[in-house]
Amino acid sequence: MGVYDNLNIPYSQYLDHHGQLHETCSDYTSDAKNLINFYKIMLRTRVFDQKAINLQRTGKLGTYASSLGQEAIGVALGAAMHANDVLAPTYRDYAVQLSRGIKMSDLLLYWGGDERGMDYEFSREDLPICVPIATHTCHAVGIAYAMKLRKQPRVMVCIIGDGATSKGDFYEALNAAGVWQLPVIFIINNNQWAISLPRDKQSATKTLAQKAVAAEIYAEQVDGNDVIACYERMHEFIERARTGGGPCLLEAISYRLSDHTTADDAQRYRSPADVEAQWQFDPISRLKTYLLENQFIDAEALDALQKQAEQEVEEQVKIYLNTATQPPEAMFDYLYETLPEALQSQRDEVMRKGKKHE
Amino acid sequence: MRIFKLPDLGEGLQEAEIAEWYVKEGDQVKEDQVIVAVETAKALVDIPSPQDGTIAKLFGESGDIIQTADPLVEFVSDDTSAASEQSKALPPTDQGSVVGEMPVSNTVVSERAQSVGGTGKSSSGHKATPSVRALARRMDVDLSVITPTGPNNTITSSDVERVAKILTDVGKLEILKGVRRAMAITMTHAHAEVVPVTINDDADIESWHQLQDTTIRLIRAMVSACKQEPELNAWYDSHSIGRRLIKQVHLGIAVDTKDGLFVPVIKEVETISFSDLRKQIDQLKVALENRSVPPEQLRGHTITLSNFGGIGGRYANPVVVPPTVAILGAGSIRPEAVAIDGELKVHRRIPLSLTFDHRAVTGGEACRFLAAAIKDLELPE
Repeated sequence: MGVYDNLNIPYSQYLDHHGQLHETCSDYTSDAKNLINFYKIMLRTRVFDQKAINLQRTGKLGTYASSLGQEAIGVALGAAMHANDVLAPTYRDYAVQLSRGIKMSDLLLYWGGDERGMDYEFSREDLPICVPIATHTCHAVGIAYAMKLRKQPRVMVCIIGDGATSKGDFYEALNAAGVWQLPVIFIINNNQWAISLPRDKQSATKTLAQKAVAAEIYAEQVDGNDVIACYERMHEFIERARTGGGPCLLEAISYRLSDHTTADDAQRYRSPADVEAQWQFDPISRLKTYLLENQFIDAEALDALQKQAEQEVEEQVKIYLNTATQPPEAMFDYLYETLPEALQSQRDEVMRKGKKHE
Repeated sequence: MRIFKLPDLGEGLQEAEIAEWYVKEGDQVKEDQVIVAVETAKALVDIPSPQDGTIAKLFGESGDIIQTADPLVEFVSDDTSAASEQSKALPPTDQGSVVGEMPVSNTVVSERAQSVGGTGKSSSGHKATPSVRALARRMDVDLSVITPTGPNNTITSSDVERVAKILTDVGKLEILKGVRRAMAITMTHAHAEVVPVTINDDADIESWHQLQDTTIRLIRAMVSACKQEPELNAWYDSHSIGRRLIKQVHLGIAVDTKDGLFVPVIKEVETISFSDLRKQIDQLKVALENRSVPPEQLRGHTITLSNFGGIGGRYANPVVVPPTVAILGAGSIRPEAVAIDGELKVHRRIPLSLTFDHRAVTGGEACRFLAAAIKDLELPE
């Protein structure tokens, strides 16, 4: 028996892993157009993901963090957010970024070491990918504070992993968001692994969601592989925050089917059989089953979507590969509006040396 | 791309071991089709084909180690379209970079340390191309000992080879060990920290009637001087900028042995009779030769005597070892022409050299200390 077993953190799931619907309380369960769109973005994300790994394996991309198996959370979030809401993503959130109009070629540029990849054409106020763990929770609080101060009907959304909930930044951000009643939503993508550290060694709490209780922030859990439940809960949370309801936290339970990054070999700390067993909860195949069984789509149309995704990825990869690399001094150009004196002299030096190499 | 070179599969990995080939020479492959499994220091990974094509050659078999950027697979060059599409793909001369093109040049890059915001004028770097640096590393030659002969004071590969030959002729570097190593480290430390000043003078011992034990007299003189100027019998703490004046005199005596320099310590030397003192010193010398001096007898001194006169030499600038603040050196006793009451006489004299740490001791204190020591030494007995 745990100390806080009676906290009663709600958990939602509509579509189970066999593709069967359990509750019909959500309108979206019969909205074919939206569901097909969900499927399409999940598919695009997955095809993109595999290609990015191949690019890394053939020396055309730097280290890359795969989002395999966690596509539903991002797709649902992308649909639940308004265009002028702001996203603070971590490094595994391509699904939501693609939903918000960020281009695959930009994501590839980012992982290829080119800062221009974070200079999005759309959703320009979204933050760049945050590699440090949980630091962006505090940035999100600051931005949400600005939204509140300006009385804007906008919502700040911050995604973190399970490991991030052990960081001080996270607790500080929750506390501030709670006491200031900010329009900010924290989404935990609990994919069970913080690199090689499993969920049960991460935190003694029964749920990660309940960490919000201490900050008097409302929190729930959701099946992160169920795109319908994810969307429904996120939509409700975001709209509540938009209308002055304050912050919320949603723990979406998923599983990292991939290695941590391309520089990792997960077989060294978890068995392939355990991973294999998790494939039955895959978010894409359960939605596919649901769409087919309810005749929202046929196999032929699904094939077409697959081909479409492959074609898009191919084109985007071409754009990435054909983007001229930046001069060395570009490394100084994306951190400051006005470069500090000390960095200016370094930049000049790099430019002089760069010229010599030409 | 005709030759596919092993990319860096992790973050700065140098090599990978071929685990298993999934294709053989002559096979047709599609882009992204897995062709080989390799094991790096970090992971066992599948590598896909970077292009459509026919495999002409596989470089290496299962178990072979392939260096990053070395050839892995050669494709039959039947068309040029595949190559033209690879503008981002690394150029034929690529060095295995994962972030794009790596410029290659013969331009010499001289590195120098610099602080942020500083002008970085000082150039401590040695100018050498990476391949010359690599050669120097392989041949175990320190770049700083090489006189460069290349343009703009560049170190060339023949410079490295020349110095390597000289070093080979001279013989191997002898790494200092034991007492000699301890001496090197202690002296480096002392040199970096202490602010030393040395005062020289002589003690006129013409009044010594019978044969006297010089070492014992020197010790007695130091004890007497310490009583008068206790500031020199002290420990200085550079971290806290403070000193401890020590009531007892724990005398360190520098002793030369075949193994190196030892400084055994006689605790509370002021309480020991002359005859006992001589006995103790003799015992110490024997113990040092046998290397049987207990460690606690090699530390904790408050002031040091270096009576090197038995070996030779006149004056010196003895080194003060922290935390002590003073050391007295004594050279060879010699008859000298001296002016006594306006007349030239020949007297025996001991040349003395007192070094003190000026952070802890004033010049006045040191001069009075030396004067007190000389006064005691000049007594007939």
